[in-house]
This record gives sequence, C-alpha cells and structure tokens, in this order.
Amino acid sequence: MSLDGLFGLALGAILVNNLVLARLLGLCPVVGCGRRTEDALAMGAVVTAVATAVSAAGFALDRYLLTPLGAGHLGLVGLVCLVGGLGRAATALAARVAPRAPGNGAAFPMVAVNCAVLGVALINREAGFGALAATVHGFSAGLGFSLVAVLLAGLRERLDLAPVPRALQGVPITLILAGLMAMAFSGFSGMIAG
Amino acid sequence: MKPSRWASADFLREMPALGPAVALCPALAVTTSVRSALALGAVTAVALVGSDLLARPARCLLPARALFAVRLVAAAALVTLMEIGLARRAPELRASLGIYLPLAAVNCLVLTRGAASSVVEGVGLGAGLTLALGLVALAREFVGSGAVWGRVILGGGYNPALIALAAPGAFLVLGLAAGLYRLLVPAGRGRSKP
Repeated sequence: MSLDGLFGLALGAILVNNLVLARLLGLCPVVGCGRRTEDALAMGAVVTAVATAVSAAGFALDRYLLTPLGAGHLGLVGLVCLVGGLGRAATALAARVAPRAPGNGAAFPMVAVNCAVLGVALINREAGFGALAATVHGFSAGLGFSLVAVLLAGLRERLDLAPVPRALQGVPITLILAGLMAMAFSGFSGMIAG
Repeated sequence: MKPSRWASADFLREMPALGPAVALCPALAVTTSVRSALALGAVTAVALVGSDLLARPARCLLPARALFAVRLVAAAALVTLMEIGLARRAPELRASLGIYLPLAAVNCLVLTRGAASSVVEGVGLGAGLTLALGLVALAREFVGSGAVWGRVILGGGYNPALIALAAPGAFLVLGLAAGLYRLLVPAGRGRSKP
C-alpha cells in the first residue's frame, strides 16, 4: 500500500471508522472502567501497544503458520491465544515498569480480553491487509480508542457535577454521552476518499 | 443453585448488557435486527455454558489463571464450530453478523466466570443476555425501519428514524433501555457496576 493509502487508512481508523464510536468495539473497558482521564490514558496506551503487536503477530500467524498448513479455520483460536498471551504480557510489563501508574489493576485485566484488540485483528484478516498496513491499522485503531476513552472520561468527570436522574446514573448516561459523541464523529464520514 | 431460584430471581434481575455493563459490543453492534440479535445471543449463551463445561475437568488440576486460558480457547473453538455451522445453514445471517460473531468468544461475560460458577447460572445469564439483545433489537428495528423480523408493521406513512439503526442510535437506545431497566427492576446482588 502506498504512503498515501496508509495515511488515509490511519486517519480513517482514528476518526471515520473509529473503533469505539463507529465499529462499536472495546466498549466494556471504556464504559465500565474509564472514569478518570489518567486511567483512560493508561488504558488507551496499553490497548494501542497490544493492538499493534497483535496486528503484526496476527498477520505473521496467518501468513507463515495457518495458510501453509491449510488450517485457516483455526484462525479465531490462534488469534484468541495471541490476544490473550500478548495482553497478559502487556499487563505484566506495565505492572513491572510503572507499578504505581494510575489505573493499574482495575482496567488492565480488561485488556487481555478486550474485544477491541481481537476485533482489529479480525478486521485486518477480513480486509486482507499486508504486514505494514495491518500494523498501521492496529496502531491507529488503538489511537482512536485512546482518543475516545480520554474524551469520554473527561466528560464523565464533568458529569459528576451535573444533576443526572437516578435511573440514568452511571452506565446509562455514559452510553447516551457516547451516542452524542458518535453523532459528532459521524460528521467525519466522507473525509477520506475511497 | 436450585433451578427454581434462577428461574425467578436472578435471571431477570441481572440481565447482562442492561444491568451490569458487560457484553456491550454485541448489544450495540448486532441489534439492528431481532433475527441477528437473537442469533448472537444464542451463540454467546452456548459459548458461555459450553466453555464452562469443557473447562470443568481441568478445575481441580489447574490454577485460576490457567483455567482462564482453557476457557478462552474452549470458547474460541465452540464459536468457530458454530460459525462454520451457521455459514452452511444460514449464510446471509452469518454475513449480517460480520466480525461480531467471532467476538462472542471473548465476550466479557464468557470469561468473567469464577472457578465456582454453576451451569444453571450460566444458562440464566445466557438466556438473560439473549432476551436483553432481543428487546433492544426490537426497539431499534421498529423505530429505525417500521418493521420487525422483516415484516413491515408501520406502513408507508411512517418516516423511519434511521439513526436508530446507526451507531449513535445504538448507544442512545441502549442507554435509555439500561435506564428503564434500572427503574423497573430492583437491584441485583450488588454485582451491577454503577
């Protein structure tokens, strides 16, 4: 893929086909755990790292292991193992490197089973991206996820001061908030040609 | 847990996606039609109970973390089998579910089952999720297209609110549904995250 195409892919993954707001992936961590901006940033950073790694590794898995063996139907099992393994490794690394980082402990186990990361790998597979395109897509999708997580966390911090009806407090109002954000982001559609 | 207990109390009190903030990705992504929603709910329920049953023999042998990995792989394998079956029997349904069908394997619900989880509880959760997905899909399909299960109910005079079928509408409908659920159903065993 040309540099132009890669740039369009990256920008598209962050804004137009945003992982959370357009493709509706990775919602459980964003809605359930992303309450403070620092936590959301940390979670986004880990998801970006894992998504990039899984995209690259997933491509290699498909190209060099599954296709030669004719085991394409094992793709999901293989990817799930990859996501689980890499997610676990990232969590352990984060705990080792920054033990007192915000959000360590609560949000991070979610990454290991994050449907966002597996979703990115599946999209890469379905679209038939090459190695570079898959990695760029994984990285940008992670950035898009981080963007939404941080924005939503910031909005939720503001929301703590607002008079929300009891029935809507917590998850329901967060979902409605995300819906309004999704409406705003849908304004980006058509920005990337092709 | 006695069958009578789950049938009356917890089944409706802790409907996934509406009560606890789990299984949000499918609740938003595939609820554009009742048919896909119920199909994915059924697949997730089978993966939930099946992975539990398959991991049971390993319960006494492996520590919790290893058990988690076993459950993950078991769920992925089951979902792959169901995916192949669905592609053979109902290819257009399989196509409409897209990448969200394989994602049922890493559904938060499937994997946050403790070491002491019971099969009956799993069946209850699966049934609750399917019902929740069905209800959300009913609202979205009805408002967004005036039809339910492909059968037109509101005739030509109805101008459908297409937003209900798009991503922003998904968030809004689920947020309002979760709020309504909290209003109507008394709180569960305190598992719901605020």
